[in-house]
Amino acid sequence: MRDLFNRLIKLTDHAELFGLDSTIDLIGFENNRLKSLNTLASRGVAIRAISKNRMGQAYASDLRDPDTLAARVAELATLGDPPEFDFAPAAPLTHVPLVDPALESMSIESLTTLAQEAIDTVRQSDPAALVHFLGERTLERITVMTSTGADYAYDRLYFTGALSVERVEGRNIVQLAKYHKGIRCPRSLEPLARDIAADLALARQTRPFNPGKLDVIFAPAALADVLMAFTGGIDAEMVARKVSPLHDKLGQSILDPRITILDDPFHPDGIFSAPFDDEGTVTRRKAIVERGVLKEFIGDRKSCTRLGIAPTGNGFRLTPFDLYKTYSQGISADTTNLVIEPGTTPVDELRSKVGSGIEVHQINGILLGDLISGDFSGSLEVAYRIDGGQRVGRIKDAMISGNFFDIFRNQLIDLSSERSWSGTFGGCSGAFLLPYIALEGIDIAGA
Amino acid sequence: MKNRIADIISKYKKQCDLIEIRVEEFNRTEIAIRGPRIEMLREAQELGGAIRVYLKGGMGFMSFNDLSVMDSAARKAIDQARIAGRSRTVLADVPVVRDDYRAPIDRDPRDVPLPKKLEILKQYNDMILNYDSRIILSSIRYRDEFKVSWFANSEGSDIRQERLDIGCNFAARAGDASGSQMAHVGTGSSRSFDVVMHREDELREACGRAVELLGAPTIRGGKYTVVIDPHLAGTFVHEAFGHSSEAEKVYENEHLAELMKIGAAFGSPVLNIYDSGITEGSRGFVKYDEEGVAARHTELIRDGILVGRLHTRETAGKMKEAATGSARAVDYRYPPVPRMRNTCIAPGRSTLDEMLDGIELGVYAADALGGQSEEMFTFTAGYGRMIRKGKLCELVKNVTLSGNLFTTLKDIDMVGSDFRQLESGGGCGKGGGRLFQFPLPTGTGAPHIRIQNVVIGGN
Repeated sequence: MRDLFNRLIKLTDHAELFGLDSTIDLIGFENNRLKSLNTLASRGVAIRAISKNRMGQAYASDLRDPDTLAARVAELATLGDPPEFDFAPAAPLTHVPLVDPALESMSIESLTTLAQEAIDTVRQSDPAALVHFLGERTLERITVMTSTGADYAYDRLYFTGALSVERVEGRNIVQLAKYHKGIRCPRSLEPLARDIAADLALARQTRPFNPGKLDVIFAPAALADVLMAFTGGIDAEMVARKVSPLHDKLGQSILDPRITILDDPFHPDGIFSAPFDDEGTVTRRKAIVERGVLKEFIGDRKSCTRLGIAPTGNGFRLTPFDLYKTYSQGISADTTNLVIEPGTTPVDELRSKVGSGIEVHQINGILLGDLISGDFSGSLEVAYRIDGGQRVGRIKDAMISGNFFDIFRNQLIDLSSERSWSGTFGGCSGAFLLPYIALEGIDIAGA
Repeated sequence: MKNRIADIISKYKKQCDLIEIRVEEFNRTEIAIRGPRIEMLREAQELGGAIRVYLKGGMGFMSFNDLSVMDSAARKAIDQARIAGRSRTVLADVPVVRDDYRAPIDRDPRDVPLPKKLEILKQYNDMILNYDSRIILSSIRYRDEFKVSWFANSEGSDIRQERLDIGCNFAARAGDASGSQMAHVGTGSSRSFDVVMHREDELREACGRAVELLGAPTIRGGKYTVVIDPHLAGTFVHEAFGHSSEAEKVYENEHLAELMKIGAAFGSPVLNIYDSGITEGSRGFVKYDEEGVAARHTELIRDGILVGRLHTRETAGKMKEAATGSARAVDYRYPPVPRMRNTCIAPGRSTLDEMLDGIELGVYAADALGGQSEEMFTFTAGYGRMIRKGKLCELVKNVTLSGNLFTTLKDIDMVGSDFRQLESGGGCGKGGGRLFQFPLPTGTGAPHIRIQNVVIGGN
């Protein structure tokens, strides 16, 4: 890799190399039993090079011929456009411990035992349930070198476990999933199993509802999807091009003052922690929204330069809709661990406060819309009716829609004191530490 | 390559119920233009492989892009399968295939020099940016890939095959004080670079629509009779039924298998759905799938009745049905799972006018941004028009439609005769309890269709 980098800096004016060596161990339980064990190992590089103020890029897993690869990138650069930004300079890094030796040394057999126990717990409470588990232990070594002085590497190890359940009764299909995400060795997956068993008992009961403007509690997984109607607008690229509705709102109150949103690359439990981003820019913890006030945008080096701000350390190469790093994706702006500060009201009390309404756990379809304006719309995949401050059963065949900026500014009821790590696409993608949030008067369409 | 693969298979085949090896070598060119600049100009070369082992019903899978580890990867995959295997391996019988398949290519993108590709795309980009002062952003993403893959298994199949894939998406965003609106054009092929050519008219239409959408109201949420255009109908069939046809959710779930048994009534008698791996030129064209099975034309619904589904050898074997050649993986890093290829609603007899006729208040939804499916599925239109007293009326925005697997297909009461094959520039993503794989090239085809009782989100 260093060999390739040295050839690149000889052939071009400036160069950047991102190296990734990753091993993912997967444990797959299907229909209550262990079905497969997989290991995905890959290593490769992504390179960007500037010659005569023009940029070309390449990625490769086959590094046997570094001369040809370096020469080809130099040639590509002659056809590119001016990069309009500089590669990352050397800078002091914050040490972030990201490899738990206990997780590293944990045997696959021990992990499968934890998963089997969790599956047994769900099955004890509902013997007709079909339970699946997908466990992924990912070890990544990330290297960034630039001709402007950055030369860093770090290792990241994390474990995600998706416990999901299917229950078919007549024409009623219930599918629920809960996620464990962490950088430490999991001691037990029992809490996940108990959660899913409780929700399953509830979800089997379908309840009618009246469409209209209803009070809604977003559980963390649903909130993560809805948040995408916000994060598009903080991307420095969309701000610089004045496409973001937030482009002239810095320093202004845009959300309810009880809302604080952080981008925290140093969170001790966050699987998305990193001392530097995939361009070699050092990362830092920052409030994006503090007590409702818009404080900062995020970007990669190009978009930050375009906007005229210092690079924020948010340039990443991520698999679309997933959280693995990959050398085969281009750089784009992404949050690290996205954290919303909790409220003080326990979830039970939040439900009492709402009295009657809907609690949404999983929405599908939101991420496919054009979200930049803050407008979102999706189907309620998993949602429960709240009556008398209690969840009383599942509602089906309904859609939710709204504008993020309107509802999180004007219609907030309260935030829960409990939080959990979740993600988009029903919880699977990304690292979001989120409370439950209750809002009033949300549009629910349906039968 | 062939010999290396054969050596490993003969060395380890006695220890496995099935061992298969695939190795892929591919070259990609990617161009991204946004606004006035080339954002990314990139080439890639990859070489990688995977070894999959079945043993006593358990599956071990190792993927790697350091080919020197192939022997140890085989041993590890056998160990993995041994730990997971606790019953019996059941796989559908398939013919042994020995073939060296050359992709039929009309115009090879590798013969189009990079400066020429850039020139073509930049012309489109200029056209978008100069269309109207309210166009604030353009976006063009082009990708071509040529792949050679080797596949062999312990049953004696030995295949070398080529595959070309081209995808291109164009987007125009219009903006004013009210906000911004986007319109897309997508294209793709497994056969010719020519699909990127002569897109001017479609692009102009998209630019015009983006501008026109700026003044359009958001649709009122509710339940409507909808008529959807062939493009959105293609996304609809992919989401509404295609994903549910993928057999891995059904094959060991007796309750779901009962609901989705062959012969069950799923739609009205006007509905015919198929998924074809043999549509030449489609991005969903598959000569041999990632299990070495020749792809077929698979009927899924005939006259409203469920008649087939999409299988891997394992799901087919366990359900005592035939393999369909739909075991696909995005690339060597992933194990194959049942996936769609080119999913279509077959043409019917109705005209658009007949469909609109008699609709007092409804929605014409067109163009697709995408979709997502579970039991309930969502598909997002690029735009809509209200239908009033049988006539197409004002433009509406934010048209997101929802449906239910067990009711919406039955609510299709008319199918048009105006079938159109569509290739998107993107791809299909799938996780659902297994490793997320994206983007897999797929195609769709459909005519206009009419559906009753569709829930549309909105205020």
